[in-house]
Amino acid sequence: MDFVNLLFIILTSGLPCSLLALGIFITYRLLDFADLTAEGSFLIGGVVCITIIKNGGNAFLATVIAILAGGMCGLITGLLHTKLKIPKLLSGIITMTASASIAMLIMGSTVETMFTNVVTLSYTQDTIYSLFFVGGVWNQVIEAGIMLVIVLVVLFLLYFFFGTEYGMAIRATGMNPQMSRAQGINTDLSTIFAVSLSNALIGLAGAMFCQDLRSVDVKTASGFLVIGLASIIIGETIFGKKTFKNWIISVSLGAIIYFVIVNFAIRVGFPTEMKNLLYAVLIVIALCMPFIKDYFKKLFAKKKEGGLESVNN
Amino acid sequence: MLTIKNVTKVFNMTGNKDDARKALDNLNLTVNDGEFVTIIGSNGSGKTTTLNIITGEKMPDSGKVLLSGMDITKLKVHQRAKYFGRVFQDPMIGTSAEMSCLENMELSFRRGKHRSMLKWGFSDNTVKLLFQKQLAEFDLGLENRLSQKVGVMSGGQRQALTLLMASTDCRIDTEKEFYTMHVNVETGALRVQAEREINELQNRIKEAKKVNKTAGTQANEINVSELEASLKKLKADYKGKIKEKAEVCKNEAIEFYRKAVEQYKTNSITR
Amino acid sequence: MKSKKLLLLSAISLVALASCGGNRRIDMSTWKFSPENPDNIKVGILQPIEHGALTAARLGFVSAFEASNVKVTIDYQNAGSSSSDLNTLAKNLVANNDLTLGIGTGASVALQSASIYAGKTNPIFFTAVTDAVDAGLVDSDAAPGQNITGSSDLNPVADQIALIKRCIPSATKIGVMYTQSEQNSKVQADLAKAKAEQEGLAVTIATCNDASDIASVAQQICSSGISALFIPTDNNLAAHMDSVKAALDANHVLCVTGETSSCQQGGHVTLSIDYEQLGYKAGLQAVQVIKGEAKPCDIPVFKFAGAECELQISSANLADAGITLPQEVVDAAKDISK
Repeated sequence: MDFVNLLFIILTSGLPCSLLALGIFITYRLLDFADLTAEGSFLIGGVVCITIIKNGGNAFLATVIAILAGGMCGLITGLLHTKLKIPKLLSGIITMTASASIAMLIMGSTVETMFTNVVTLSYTQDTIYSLFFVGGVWNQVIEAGIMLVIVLVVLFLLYFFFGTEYGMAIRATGMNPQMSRAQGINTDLSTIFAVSLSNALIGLAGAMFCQDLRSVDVKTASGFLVIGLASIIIGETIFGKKTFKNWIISVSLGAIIYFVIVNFAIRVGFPTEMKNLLYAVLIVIALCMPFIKDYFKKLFAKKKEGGLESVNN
Repeated sequence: MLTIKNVTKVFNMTGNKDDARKALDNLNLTVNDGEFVTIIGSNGSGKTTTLNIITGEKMPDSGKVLLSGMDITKLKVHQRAKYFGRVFQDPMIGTSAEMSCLENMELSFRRGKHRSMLKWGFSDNTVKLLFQKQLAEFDLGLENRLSQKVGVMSGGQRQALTLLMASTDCRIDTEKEFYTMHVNVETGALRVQAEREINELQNRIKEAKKVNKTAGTQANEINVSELEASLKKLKADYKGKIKEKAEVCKNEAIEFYRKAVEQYKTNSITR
Repeated sequence: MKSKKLLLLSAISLVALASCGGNRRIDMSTWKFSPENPDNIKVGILQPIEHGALTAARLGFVSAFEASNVKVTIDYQNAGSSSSDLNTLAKNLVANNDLTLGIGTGASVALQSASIYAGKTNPIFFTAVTDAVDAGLVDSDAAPGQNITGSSDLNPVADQIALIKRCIPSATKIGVMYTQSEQNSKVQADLAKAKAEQEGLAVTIATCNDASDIASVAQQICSSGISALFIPTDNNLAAHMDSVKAALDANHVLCVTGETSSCQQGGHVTLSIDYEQLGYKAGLQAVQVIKGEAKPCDIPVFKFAGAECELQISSANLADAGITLPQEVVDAAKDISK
């Protein structure tokens, strides 16, 4: 029973981060654009969603608007870079900084603090998860199920989109912008489109996370960029990226693995002051897996060959 | 017809007037249809700059670029791309290392065409086969490496690919052109084979004649006339084979072409 | 055609499912506290960040069990200001413990959400939450209604206003200043106004927007003839009390603050909440539930009355402003000058 609980805890924590990782993946890997807007669009997605539900709006509508809001953040970053020629990194930072102020405006507060000025939902206000609840232990199954459905839908859409003519044009833009332009691709437009799409996904992730937490405050998004990047790298290292289908699944699974690590640390009872250090160590171990595997393979191969190999070396 | 009228281009990286360099000064150039033009110049004389201005990578400070009377000076690179196929100096720029051979060719195949979000980007088999045939012409074995990432290929292979991508005309307009190409590609391999064997045999005949001269004795004489007879037969054989193949290929190609054009004309690409 | 039908069918079933779902209220009439091991209660504590007041509250909560001879195993987790960790820790705590404590609004709501989504009904206690109703934790302060209750750190505004008359018996006009966008401050300001008018004082209210206009607003209100200024627990003002102090000193206006640090930084008098006591009170509520004496739905949210708070003054700031307090106040108060 405890294992089942743990499984659902991992899934409900990890699945919103799968979307976050996929969003960051689109800009960071496909478009070769280190986009720092992520925490901004994550926050805006969460703030917009919770504020709408708190004021009586429908949870589905709130989530859809959160996606659009995230896309807007991406649009701004894209425009800053392509039209105003601001460097990629800086464009992301500008949007992220501005979104902190906009978030405060939407929530109606001026001060950033962690444990006050939190916007929370009341018991009667439903999130997209609780809309389907039947009570008891099934709740967490339903919540995980809804998250899983959303992630799968996004994966399908991404797979098909990046196989279309325009999707491939976006990938080409990321891999070789000069050649892409020579092949008739409007790289400004494809960059803006991809950055908007990426941040729309991140906005969705923010909405999903905040509906799981049923609250949001100005500092909610801090730390998620690192989680997203870690998920991408862990996923790629462990599950590989041979084909595009393989790649996006790896990235999504990477987020789940990250939370396996986090929950392992919690269950083992690691002292709370040291937990960040533990995450770092475990992530490094996960990343070194291929090297460790290789090393042991070589070690066994050497032993098998006997003395000759070591003599030659 | 391409016309460059009174184009001047000055490069000034620092903004300082003394650092300004005039790369092109009132350049006038006309290239007529069907002409093959070579621009020769020493280092820094403005060759690449001229090319950049034609394709749009750089904008002239003054002057115009006209294509068949149409003013394309203000058009951006991607807007002009449908009129030009550019072979970059650097094969690393001309092709995309992370994409496969096939994906690169698909990119150039759609140059000038609108890229839709709703159409599947991977071409169906008819077009794939077309690509293979085009690649086979280079005789570099690229046609067997369609799904390999371009990054693992050598510089020369990538440059060949760039050349092919630049000359890809995505409009398959002329039936005759299409199946002539098809036939040439199919029979090309045979021709190469034939040439090889014929040369081999000819060399053997030469050698034999030499040996006969120096050997002297009739017993050791190599029957040159026999060899010459087999050479004649070889040539006739190959001629026949190629002719036969050409007929078969021509009919194949016509079928091929009709199907491909039908599909592209009705815009229904089946997966 | 087939795909259209499928789409319609799934849309209908989705709506149908959604309409029979929703958060179910816990039926408290049949609710019972059922620990895994009644001899050793597993208590989970979630603290959002390292902070003096929050840590004090936690220690107070834990001490209540010892004082009441209830054996517990404490599972304390600190989220280290990461929302992601807050969420995951909340889920784990709810899954592993018989009852949980959230310190602060964010942590408490996280525990509540984890509980709802896991379908659990174990009691949840909160402390250092200013407005539990607004946070959605309880139906009302008097009757929480479900499995959540706790102690609130809303400062005793009425008693703090009464303090003004105690310090300046001849006062007729007072001011209240707060930051416009802080909902919490507005609530306190309204309470202050009501009590002041009850006491027969004329009240002027001034609001500022952010750090930049504090000085000018303070100057304006202090020079408008008031004898005392009340500043509620307002995050913006608490961070910039020095801007207010200048105006207070120039106009010799007495400043009553809502909490200790503002008093220290520029105010003069306050009735402060002891966070350790606050945690202790929540702990006592937990003990009640463990012993089966009451259900969380019936235990009202605890709030400090003025008499239970510590009277504090800052003699240094008073000297700067040139104000002398009645001796009885000085004797009864603790001097917290820097």
